[in-house]
Amino acid sequence: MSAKDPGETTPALVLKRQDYSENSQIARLMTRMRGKASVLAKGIRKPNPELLGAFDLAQLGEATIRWRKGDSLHLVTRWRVVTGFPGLRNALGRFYAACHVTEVLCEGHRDLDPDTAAFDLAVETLAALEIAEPTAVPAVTARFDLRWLAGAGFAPVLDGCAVCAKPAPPKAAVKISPGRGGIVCGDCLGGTTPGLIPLASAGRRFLLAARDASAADALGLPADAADIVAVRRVLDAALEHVMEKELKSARFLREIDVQRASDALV
Amino acid sequence: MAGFPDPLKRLIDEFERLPGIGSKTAERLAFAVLRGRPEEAKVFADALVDAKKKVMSCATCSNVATSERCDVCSDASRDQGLVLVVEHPRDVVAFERTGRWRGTYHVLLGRLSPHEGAGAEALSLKALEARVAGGKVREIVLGTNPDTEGDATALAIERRLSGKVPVTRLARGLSSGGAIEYAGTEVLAEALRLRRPAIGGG
Repeated sequence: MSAKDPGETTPALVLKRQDYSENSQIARLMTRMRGKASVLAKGIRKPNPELLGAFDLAQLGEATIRWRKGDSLHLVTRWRVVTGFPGLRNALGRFYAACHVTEVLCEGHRDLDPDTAAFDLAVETLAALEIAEPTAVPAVTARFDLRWLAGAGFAPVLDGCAVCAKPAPPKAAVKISPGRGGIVCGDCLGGTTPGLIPLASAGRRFLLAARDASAADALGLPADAADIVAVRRVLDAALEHVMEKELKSARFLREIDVQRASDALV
Repeated sequence: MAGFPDPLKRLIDEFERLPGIGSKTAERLAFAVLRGRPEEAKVFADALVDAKKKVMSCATCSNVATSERCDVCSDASRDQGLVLVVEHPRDVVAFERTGRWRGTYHVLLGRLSPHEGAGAEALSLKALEARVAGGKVREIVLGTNPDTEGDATALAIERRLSGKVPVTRLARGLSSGGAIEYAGTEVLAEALRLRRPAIGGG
């Protein structure tokens, strides 16, 4: 592309950003058209008719990007903020969940590998989170995790045994193995299955409901606080299995859930 | 292919360890040092060692200091009842440049950044709570950055101090001397939401 190329305009989510020199920023964006990319926005931190507003975490905008062939850092020539999802800043649970969403995109996608479904899911999730009551944050987050995992080809099997496909009775407590892809029934457990996570029937019903709900319906899915801790353990283990590392935001979501559970017990 | 000689490579590696410095910039800085006179390199090295040896954290506010208490905390003319909470010592310098703040500061030494693994335990919050518990603080002004993490950090502090001391947040919106056409949509939205009666109006 020539230096005068105006670039390509795409919706984009800010996953990470850091200041660079006096007035510029470098960011990791999830673009709808080209997937994840590292970009440089020269002069974005000073008054600039083309770059309106500095990058901020979990911000949705419209970016015009000049893609530099053979370079891992591309140039943003125009930036318009669509929304910074301001409601995310009004409750710590929402903020932690938003950080989780951006981290999943940041760690779970390769550069320049477009995934419009994941992009749209993240935007829909952030929009739901910014109006979510504290009790609804776990459902919105679980819905995101389950759908993102499904999109990546790692949806945990929750309806029956991931090994023999035997249906799991609705009211039964189950054991989940992230390595084997979901519920593992007693017959398939064998001698030792590492990393098994017990999940009560209420927790499993919650996961199924969150998975199948629309974003709007997920907002109305408050969970029994005690179940949320186990549900989060299942989701974190599934994500860790895919990413091959624990996400940094995981402990923050767990802290909020444990706090909610202990509040509910008081 | 021959690389850089070991002493030069070591210098480049050390520059590269600094935040925001990539390999190319590290090379440029190292060659700049080599181009200078030997005594300039000595002054540079002495400045590094001296800063590391003499600069410490203020026992009261965690700002940078050269003794147990920083210049602001040890200044008897400052109002110790007013505490402006900021993320970084650089923010203290920015406020001091205005010459308008006569209270003190509390430097958090960071902010909440869950996606980078930084939680409340990494901030100097216990020291802030101890200052409030001391009973002399009349107002806490939250001066964290007006972005997502800064606002979340302010929210977490507000929660912790709720009911113990009045807590305020810095005003936000349009910057003086700026132009509306260059302001971002978020800034304009904030400016509209937080509008106030015109001075001398009504």
